[in-house]
Amino acid sequence: MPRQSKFEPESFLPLPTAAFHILVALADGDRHGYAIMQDVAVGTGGRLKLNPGTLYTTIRRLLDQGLLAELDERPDTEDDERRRYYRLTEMGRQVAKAEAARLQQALAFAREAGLAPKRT
Amino acid sequence: MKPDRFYAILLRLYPSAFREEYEREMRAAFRRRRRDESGVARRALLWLSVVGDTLATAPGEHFNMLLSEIRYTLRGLRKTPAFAAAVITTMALGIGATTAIYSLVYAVLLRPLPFTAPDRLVRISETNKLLDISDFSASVLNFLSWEEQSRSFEALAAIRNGSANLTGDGEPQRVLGIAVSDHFWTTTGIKPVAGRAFTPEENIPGKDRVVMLSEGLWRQRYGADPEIIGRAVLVNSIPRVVVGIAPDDIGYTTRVDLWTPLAANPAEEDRANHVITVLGRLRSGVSLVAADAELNAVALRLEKEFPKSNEGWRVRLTPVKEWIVDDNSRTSLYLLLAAVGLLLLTTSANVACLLVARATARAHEFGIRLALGAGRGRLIRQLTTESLVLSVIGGGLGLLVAAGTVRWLATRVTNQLPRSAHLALDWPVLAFAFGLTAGVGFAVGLAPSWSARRADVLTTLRRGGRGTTGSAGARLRLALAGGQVAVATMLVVGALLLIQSFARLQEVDLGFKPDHLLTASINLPRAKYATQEKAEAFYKSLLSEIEALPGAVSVGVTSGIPMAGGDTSMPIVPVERPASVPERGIQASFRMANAGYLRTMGVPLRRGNLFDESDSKHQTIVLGEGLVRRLWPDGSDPVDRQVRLGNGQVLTVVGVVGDVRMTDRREEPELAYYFRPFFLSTLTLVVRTTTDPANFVGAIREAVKRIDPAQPLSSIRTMDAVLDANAEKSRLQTTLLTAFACLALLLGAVGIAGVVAYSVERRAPDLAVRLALGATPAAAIRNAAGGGVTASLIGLVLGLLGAWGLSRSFSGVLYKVQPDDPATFAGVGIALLAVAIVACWLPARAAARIDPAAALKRE
Repeated sequence: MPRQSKFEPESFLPLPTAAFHILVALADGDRHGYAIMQDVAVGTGGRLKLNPGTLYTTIRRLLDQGLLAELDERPDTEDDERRRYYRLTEMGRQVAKAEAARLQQALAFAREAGLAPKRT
Repeated sequence: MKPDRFYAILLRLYPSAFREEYEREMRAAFRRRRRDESGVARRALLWLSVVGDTLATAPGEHFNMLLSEIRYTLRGLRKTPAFAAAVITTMALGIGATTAIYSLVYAVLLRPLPFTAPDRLVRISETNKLLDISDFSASVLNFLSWEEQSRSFEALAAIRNGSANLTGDGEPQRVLGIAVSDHFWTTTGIKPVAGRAFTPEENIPGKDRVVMLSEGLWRQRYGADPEIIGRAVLVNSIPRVVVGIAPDDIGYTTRVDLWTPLAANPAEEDRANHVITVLGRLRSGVSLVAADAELNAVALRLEKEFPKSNEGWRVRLTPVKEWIVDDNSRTSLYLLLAAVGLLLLTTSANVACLLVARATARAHEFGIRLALGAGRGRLIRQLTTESLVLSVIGGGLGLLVAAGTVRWLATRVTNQLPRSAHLALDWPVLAFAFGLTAGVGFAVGLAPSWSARRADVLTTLRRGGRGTTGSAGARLRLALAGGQVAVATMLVVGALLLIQSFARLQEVDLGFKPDHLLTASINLPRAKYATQEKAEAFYKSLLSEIEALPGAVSVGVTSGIPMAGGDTSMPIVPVERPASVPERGIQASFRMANAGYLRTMGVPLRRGNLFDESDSKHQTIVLGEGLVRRLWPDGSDPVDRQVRLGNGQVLTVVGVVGDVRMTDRREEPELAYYFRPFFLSTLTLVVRTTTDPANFVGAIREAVKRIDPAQPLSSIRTMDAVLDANAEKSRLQTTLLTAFACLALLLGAVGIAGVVAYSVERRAPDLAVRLALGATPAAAIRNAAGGGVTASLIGLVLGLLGAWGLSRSFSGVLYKVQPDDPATFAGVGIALLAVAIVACWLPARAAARIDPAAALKRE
């Protein structure tokens, strides 16, 4: 497992789309699974609707990789369903940043080639 | 069905561990998503994507689960290296030995024959009750008559074996050849690998100057040069054009180098000369019995037509499969297969024992995992994964064991077992090894799973890890250890019977002195040595050259040395026939030989003299004493009397020699006679030396070169090597069975000792109480060892019964040993009982050293 040696965010790249969006959805706060699903849907303008299978198998892998952590206490106590909450770890944050930078670079490259609109 | 319920069923596609974690969440998320989508079309789309999503992600989870279980297993194994090494080594031995023996069984019995529809292919041999011959070659003229008159066959093929000298293109080389008749190719379905087969035209005498090379010879001598086709090569100094390349495997013989057309000339053939092998392809719808009856009717007609040559001659049809692999080879293989099956059983039982012991020792860990909510199913899955991981590693090492064993076997059996030239670890064998590995992995995994099936949290934790798995495991291990003793008993009995049989075979008097003898074969090409006189002159100078070599005692020449395979026989009858001797005479083996041969071999002269070498007319004969007793039952002296041979020759008896075992140590010596060599046939030189005969090879090659530089020598071997090769099959099965038996015995002893050691540990508190209450240490030892001794005794009795039942099926491979030999059974019973008692006593001694206070405190 990469986290045993010196941590290098680049070793996780490129991230699968679902994994990247889950990390992004958790960037500004802890969430439970369904909330992540909604956030991703909103953030992508409804274009990416995660199914439960993809969502939870990806969460399971991100947990294994140490990019996410599961919370012991449930912040949203009014919720009747005792949901599991997830938090982005420091490692997760770095990996998400690295992936964003990679995507930006890819976008810049596409712009050079005239394949994407230039920023105003 | 409610949508949620349906989704729950869909979730079953994920591994249970994953479901335990996420099922609730996933169902909740699914319900919310469903609520968000309204309308039939959108809901249908949602279902479609959810089902697709599940199918896409579930396999990955299973794979991940498996990986983590394997990692967990490997971590566990690294912590217990002694356990891992013991299990893996035992499995490697079991799987490796079984795979190696299977490769032999596959090569000989299972590998498809190179014929099309081999079920309809039969071998046709001639038989003669009057001459007491049950299986004989056919004569060319009879074959031609069958071909013409019989209606039961699509085609008949005749094959004549021989050998030839290949000259030009490098060193002269002696090669094995076969000459095949016109319909050989259609009868067998064998096809050339390059070029073409012989045409019917080329089977006409005089138009037959063509040859096919075997693939092996083509590669070895001509570097697989495709240009060789169409070129002429020198076969026995005659140029023949190469028309094609034949495959190496022709099913029934280990090696053929050179193919020529039979091109039989009926005018030159003798109907009484039985020299060819005949194969026939049955017409579809014709049964073996019907074909047999029809061909025998033909044989009967031939007998009436040609009474002189065909009196009493009938035919026998044998399916090729039975002909190619004789009963003795088949039994030998089944014996080895049975033995290695038992070995596999005992190695598996041993591993199962170790796994149960480990599962018992880990009962505490299992209890905790159960308490933490792991399902029993997961526990069993983990145990199965563990045993599979072990068996895959063991199987991998087993393949190395098998590869080594197969290489070793190949050097030993190729001339002893039919079809074994193609012995290899090929795909079918590897597939078998793979299946075996998986099977063993699952089977041995059942044992710990069985003992853990009733594991429950409370008792396991309360008893500090010696809970329910303990007693079920202990019973299972006793049963497995008893089974190992049973298997070891069977193998030891089998090995001992074979060792005795082998020893008795070695004591058999061969009728000659095999030490310090070197043998080598020569065939003079007719093209160069046109007459008998020229050939005789060659041998005269060669024999005197060799005799003059320092260290050579004597030298002789014969048409065939004993124990090298092959036999030639012909009827013989006294010219003044005693009434008790049948008119046709007695069928007996003959060898062409000079006096030097009989002297060199050390065959004792009983009466009269050996051949007079200066007599150039060659009208004399020497008889074996067994034959003399049959030809003159009244005991009269045969010297100076005349005998007539099956070919019509009349010869005068000059001497009587001792009997020689010619083909098989197991058989009584053959009835035999010797007459002077025909120097143009293949002859074998025999040289007696004062020192190691192997050192003479170079000197003898030089001697041949001095007389004729183009003349090759072949089959250069010491007589000891010939005998070794002849005994190889018995030696091999004895060696293998002994090795299996030793291994099984070792494993059985270790298994029993392990069970007793474990029982001492498990029952330490109980024993401590007994010791505290005044039991003597000896009583404690007896108490601790009791279970092991009982299990051993039961195993021993079952093993002796099993050996008694099994050994009868293999009595055919035994020589002068009864399969139920009471001394062997009693000896094995006593010896193994002693081994079992020692194996129980050694670990049980620990019972006497238990410190009651410490043991009870631990409780």
